[in-house]
Amino acid sequence: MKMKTKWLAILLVLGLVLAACGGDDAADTTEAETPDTTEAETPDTTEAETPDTTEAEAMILTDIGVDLEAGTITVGLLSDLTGVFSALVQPVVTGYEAQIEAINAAGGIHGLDIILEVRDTGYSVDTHVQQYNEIRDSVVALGHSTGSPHTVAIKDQLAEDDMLAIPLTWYSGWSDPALNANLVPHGTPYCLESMNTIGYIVSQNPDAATIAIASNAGDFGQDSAQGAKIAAEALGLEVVYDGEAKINAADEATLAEVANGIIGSGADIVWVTTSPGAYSGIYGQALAAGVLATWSGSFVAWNFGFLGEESPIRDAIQRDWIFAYPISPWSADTPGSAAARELIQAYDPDAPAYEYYLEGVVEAQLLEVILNAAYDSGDLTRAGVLAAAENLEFMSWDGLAPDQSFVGEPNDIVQRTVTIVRPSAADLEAGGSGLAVVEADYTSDIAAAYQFDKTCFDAFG
Amino acid sequence: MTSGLLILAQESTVVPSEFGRMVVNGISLGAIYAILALGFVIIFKATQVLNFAHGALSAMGAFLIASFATIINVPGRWMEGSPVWLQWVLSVVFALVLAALIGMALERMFLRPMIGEALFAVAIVTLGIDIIVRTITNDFIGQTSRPMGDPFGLKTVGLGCANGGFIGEADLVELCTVRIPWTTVFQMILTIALVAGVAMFFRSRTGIAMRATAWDQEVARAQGISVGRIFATAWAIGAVMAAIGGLFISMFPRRPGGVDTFTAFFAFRAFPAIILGGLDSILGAIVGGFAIGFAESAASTYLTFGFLGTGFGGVVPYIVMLLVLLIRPYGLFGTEEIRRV
Repeated sequence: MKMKTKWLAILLVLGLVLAACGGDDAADTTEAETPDTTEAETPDTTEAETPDTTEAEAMILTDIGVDLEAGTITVGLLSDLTGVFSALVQPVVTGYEAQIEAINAAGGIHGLDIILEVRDTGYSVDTHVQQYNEIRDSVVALGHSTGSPHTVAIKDQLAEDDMLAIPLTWYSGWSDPALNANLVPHGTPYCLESMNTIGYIVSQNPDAATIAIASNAGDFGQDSAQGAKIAAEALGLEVVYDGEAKINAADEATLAEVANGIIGSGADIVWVTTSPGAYSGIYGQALAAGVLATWSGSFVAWNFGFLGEESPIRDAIQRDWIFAYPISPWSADTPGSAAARELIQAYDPDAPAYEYYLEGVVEAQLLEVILNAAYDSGDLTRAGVLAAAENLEFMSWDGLAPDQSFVGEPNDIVQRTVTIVRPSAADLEAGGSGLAVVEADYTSDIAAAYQFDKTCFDAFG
Repeated sequence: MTSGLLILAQESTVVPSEFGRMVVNGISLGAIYAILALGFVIIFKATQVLNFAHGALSAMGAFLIASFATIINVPGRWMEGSPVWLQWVLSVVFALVLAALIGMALERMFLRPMIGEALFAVAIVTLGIDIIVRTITNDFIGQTSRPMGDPFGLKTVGLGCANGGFIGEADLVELCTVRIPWTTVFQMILTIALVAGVAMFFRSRTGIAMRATAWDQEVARAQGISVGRIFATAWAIGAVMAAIGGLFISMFPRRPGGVDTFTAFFAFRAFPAIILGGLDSILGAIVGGFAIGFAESAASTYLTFGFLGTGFGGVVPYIVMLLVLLIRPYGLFGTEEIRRV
């Protein structure tokens, strides 16, 4: 019995060690903070901060998350590092950290280094709220908040704390003042993405007459599906299969059911909004049944692995798939894209070409502009940072993402422009992410004319 | 920048027979459930352990196959010029051997020390193994999809095709009543071969020893049977079956992107098949697997009425299982336990 107890104890310890290797909150926080503190802060403190800090102390209002003596601005990131979207969010965080390190190396925000407090939410609303409560007394703003229901869950605290947050979600509901009081949404909302992509497909193929629509339930899938329906109505497309909210990516039975619906519909255009694995599963089953159609959906469904040499659908998707991206794809020929690529490759030479790294750069650049504006106004309090964001009249990413204004009514400031892309093995082999630009800065007539005065899909009643 | 996009000239879309699709999907699902159930039952039969790590083992096995076949390309990298199918088959064999070794190692490290402990406690240990193996596997899978690298591609066998050919390799734009992906044909053939292999195994010396161990460990030990070796063998076979199940899940058309973080959860869908057939019955695993596969496929095809909600096909296997258990509490082929009360 003693022997058994000893073995059990050893196994338990081994199990705990292995589980720790999988990544947990504490480890993520350490990973994110340590490099910033050691690599970027130290040189800035000696070279640039001392004079600026003295100047700043005299002029700048601060409250929480800004330490003028230490020369730091602490910003929180609520990220899904271990949940269902971790494969997408991890590179976003890496891109964010790369850009922040570059900002700090270039002198930070007038000599103040940005410190990232990265917290893993596991894509759980409860954990998201818990992590927010843990960092709310130490950060000046949230550099991103992952997930719509998660962000909605902390909206009251955000308002109470005067806390700015950049949502890492493209839900159209951020147009609703009741939800977005403290949010700075960037990029094209899911429903406008649908209108743009379907508008583009029909502009290239005016004979298309029918469309099949399917999606996950919730803000992401149904916002996208509603946009597809709005586009279908505007373009006179008959919806021959309506699978809105019918997909559960973890439930194979729903994939088969939706695939059956699409196969039976004979649609010219198929619009599916779900995760990459589920998307490829539905597409595969339809393909096996001989379905020929133009396939699209939210860009979230894309994974460069589909274009790998060993992928059975490598050729078929180059023929069938087309997407729209809220930012420029990896290989885009713009100054902002080139700089971002160089930055990521220098920061992590092993990083694959992937747009989610660029999304992190986009968010970090937006944060930098906001913090600089707040500093320039002499107010680095939370309220000051929030005011700076709300008064940001123009933001340019040098082509990495479409230019955007953040001042005005939702209908005036919502981003309507996307980049139309298609899978390209040639792009992947040339070192890209496998997405070739078909048309940059594209806005369909439907998206341009759409009166964006309310959310396309009300997910939070 | 690439200008212009080839938008498909929309031809009349091919819609094969709904019934045909249901049957083909049922065969494919049935093969997956049967193989997963087989691995689970072999471990239970030999060791009385409910292995909740079977899903994690299937994802790990599928990832090993993807790794050998595509990522590290072993032994293909040393076999240039040899047929692609041969390279792939050898990659699968290498991966299955490694999966078997890992299965044996898990048994030795985590299960062997639990011999004699309450079965409930042992089952909980397998939950721990599931978390550990799944977490490590998912970390390895990472951001990209991991295709299996099989030589079948998108090829299908067409039945009742419009060009007059009844059986032949169908082009994707060819109208056929039924289209069977070659991957499904492969699954069927391999399933039949594995069932035959397992049946023969249980007639072999080791197989008989395994049956004796399952019947009574103490008596088996008294007869000179190495119970530890039998346990290790059972876990090796279970891990191989799980890996093959993971391979089936991760192929075209079900998951052409390959193994991903959802693969591990798929195996849990085989539980109704295991219970339906009887926890300790090899025949039950096969019959239960195909019965549940067809029931789910039929429900996903025909029971799509709005009032049933979405994904009713995923509920039907449990309804079938419950109905059968009401009549036969030990499953269709399970061993009845008679207790004096």
